[in-house]
Amino acid sequence: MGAEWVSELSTHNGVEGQTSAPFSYHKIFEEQCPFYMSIGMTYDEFWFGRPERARYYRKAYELKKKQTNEQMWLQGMYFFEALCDVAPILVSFPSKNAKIHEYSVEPYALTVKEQKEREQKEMERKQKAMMNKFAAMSVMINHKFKQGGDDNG
Amino acid sequence: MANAVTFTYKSVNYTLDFDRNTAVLLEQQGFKVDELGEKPNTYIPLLFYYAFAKYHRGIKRNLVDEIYKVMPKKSDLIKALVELYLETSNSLFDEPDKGDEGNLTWEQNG
Repeated sequence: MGAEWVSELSTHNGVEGQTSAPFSYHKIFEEQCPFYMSIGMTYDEFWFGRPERARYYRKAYELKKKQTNEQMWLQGMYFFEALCDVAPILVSFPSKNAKIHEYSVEPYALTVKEQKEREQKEMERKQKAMMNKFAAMSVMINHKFKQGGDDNG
Repeated sequence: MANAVTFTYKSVNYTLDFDRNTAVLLEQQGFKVDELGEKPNTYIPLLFYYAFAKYHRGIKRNLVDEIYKVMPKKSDLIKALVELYLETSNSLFDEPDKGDEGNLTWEQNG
């Protein structure tokens, strides 16, 4: 009865004979059900549907959250611009040190994953800028050498 | 993502699968997936029987035992059923992000 595979499974915790804390499917499902219902999954889908549907609901929820974040960012941008437009008539004598803080260039990252993606993107952008700078420099140096060679020759 | 197991026995089509409801029913019978290796004689027939519960509720235990006896590739079958059972909880949680695994990798031999 699948003894080979089963004997491997018995040591899946790494240490033979040591079991992890009691893991109750019932408890986990009871705890998770309200969350999935809050993101649009029906009770019947959760309990009686194909389990992987939960993944799609979660993914859809993440996308929706991202869209809402972007919409709110855009709305904030309009609001910020409107404030800037009327600011001159609100303050007659602004302080010399008064500065306008720039509006965020993109919506806030809501998840660690998103944050990491942005950091990666920023790093790539900097690397690309550096490469372009080096390329421009090398073109300039080559040009100078060429000119020097022409002058000598 | 695991797919349901399908087969035909004596001209009747059968589909073995788990949803969260039948996973809980199986658990309520005392099934513990991490003890499957320690008590295969108890847990494997239980796992097989409850895999019928979603689409063939009320099927006779004798018939299930009879089917199990003639099933080929039992090891793969049990592995597939365990995957279906685990999917009921695994699907509720995200896979760890890249970089969160501490560069841990694994592979399947065989």
